[in-house]
Amino acid sequence: MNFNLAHPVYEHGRNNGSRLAVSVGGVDLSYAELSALAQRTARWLTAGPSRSPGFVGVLASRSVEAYVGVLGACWAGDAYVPLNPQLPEQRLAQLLRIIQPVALVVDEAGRKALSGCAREACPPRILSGFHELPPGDPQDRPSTVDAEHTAYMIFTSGSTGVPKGVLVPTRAVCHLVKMLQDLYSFRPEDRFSKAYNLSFDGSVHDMFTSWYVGASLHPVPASQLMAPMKFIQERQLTVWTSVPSTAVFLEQLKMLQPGAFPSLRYSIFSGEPLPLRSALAWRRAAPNSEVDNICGHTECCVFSTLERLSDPPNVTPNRGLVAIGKPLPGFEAAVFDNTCTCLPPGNEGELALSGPQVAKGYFQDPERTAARFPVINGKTWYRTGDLVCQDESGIYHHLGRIDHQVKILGHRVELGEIEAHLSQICDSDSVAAVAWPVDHGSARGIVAFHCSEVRSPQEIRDAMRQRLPRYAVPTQVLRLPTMPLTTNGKVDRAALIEVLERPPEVW
Amino acid sequence: MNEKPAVRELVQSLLRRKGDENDFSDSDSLIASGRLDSVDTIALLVFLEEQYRVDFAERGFDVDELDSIDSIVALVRASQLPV
Repeated sequence: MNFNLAHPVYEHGRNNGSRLAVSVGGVDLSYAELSALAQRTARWLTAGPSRSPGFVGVLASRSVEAYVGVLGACWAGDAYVPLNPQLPEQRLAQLLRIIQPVALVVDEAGRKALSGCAREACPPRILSGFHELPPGDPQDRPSTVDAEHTAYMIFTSGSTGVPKGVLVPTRAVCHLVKMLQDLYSFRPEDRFSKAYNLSFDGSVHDMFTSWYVGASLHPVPASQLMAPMKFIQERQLTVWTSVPSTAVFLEQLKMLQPGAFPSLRYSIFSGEPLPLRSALAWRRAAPNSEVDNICGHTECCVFSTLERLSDPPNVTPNRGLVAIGKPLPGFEAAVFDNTCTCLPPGNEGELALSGPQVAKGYFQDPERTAARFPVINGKTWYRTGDLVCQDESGIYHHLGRIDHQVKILGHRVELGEIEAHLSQICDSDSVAAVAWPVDHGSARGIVAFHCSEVRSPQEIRDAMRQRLPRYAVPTQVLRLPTMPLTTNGKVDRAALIEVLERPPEVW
Repeated sequence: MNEKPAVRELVQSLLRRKGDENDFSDSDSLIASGRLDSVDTIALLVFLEEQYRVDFAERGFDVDELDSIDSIVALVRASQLPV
């Protein structure tokens, strides 16, 4: 069996070539066209002396180049690494130095992002237009790869200031896609949204699930992401997948009109906690749609637990959140204490997951891989860091985090990473970052605290913008005369939150 | 009616709240550039609804329409034209 993720696109290109595969930025690509471009990109990638499989950086977003780059890398037997063109130059350069890609595929935004130190860290081979591609070869098929072949690497926040690359094998993606197909029975007529950015692993589901069934993919333009009502209506989408924030914002702004989205069959929310209120408002807006809360981790290939909004709904007590439900088929879930011992139902502990979707580990980081992916009785688990509890009916509830990771619009942010940068910028250890305000378990912003006499908040913010992805840049920078510490000398985050909850004039 | 000073003042206060004291022109990008985030955008929408009775629930919005002082003012004026 060939585990190449480009294989379904190749097959649809041959058998249902005229069907729409992706519609982005005013360009409609059929399966035949998408398959041909992927094949030519693969030929470009593998031209020259033979080499072992490597990483192909896809510095592109919501463009034909982005999807062709992903599929071309898969087709060639390489692994793709999505890179967001909106990343600041220093961050991009840092990632490129870690990845050492064999080539980059860029779109217009990606080309612009390659300036200064990011340009210096680039590989010599950059594909920045399809006119550079060699002609196609009708005999060419996606290269044969096995189950453990790395399909992609996605970076997540690392608490030391260096991002972690999660290595996801093809078996994980193939399992995800087939498992979802068994569960949802998607159809070739389905029209999938693509709201997630390529560097967010939710996009793996959007792309590979829709292409597996031969359905069409509809990337939402960046300017319509916050309020996608018209997009859903005009495209007559049938499958919507996004972070819950989309539903939360629209509900807060009273933009979820009852019956607004009759075309939707499935609405999947993943990436952060789903408030019940927003889920119910979405269901009224999409009366023909199931509303699913799916919990996922990049380290477990996108989706791991599912709760379908029921009547009455399963709600996490005192949090106003839809429960995270039960493990998806193929997963085994457990609640660990801090020695990785399973706790019986009813106890709070860390959610641990095992099964075919568990990733291979972190790139060039055996120590952290061993810590987060313990092997117990021959079985590999992923310790999620999520604090959960299983109730008497077997339903899991998300209660928060056991560490200092927060979610901003679904993006994972380690507060330690922000503090590591703050400390360098301020040249001082008296720094801290907290998530604030937090609404239904989702952070709406990050506040940075420092005690520096030399650096102004504006300078600190500007420096952070050079180093961090936009969502991780503190929304506020506040100077304190001294940093509050707990009795054992650690930053007292509770005291910092208290400072923020006071009325502004007291600061 | 001149909406520009009031819109500018609101945007300035949103930026200041997060420690962004940098100046901005009427055509500078505010949201796509990342200077205003989604929470600020909500504050902006609520302000436009309350102050100028722009009905976003009815018309929806595209972030491009809110991205600069100039575009916000144009949106307010367009939504106030007699239908």
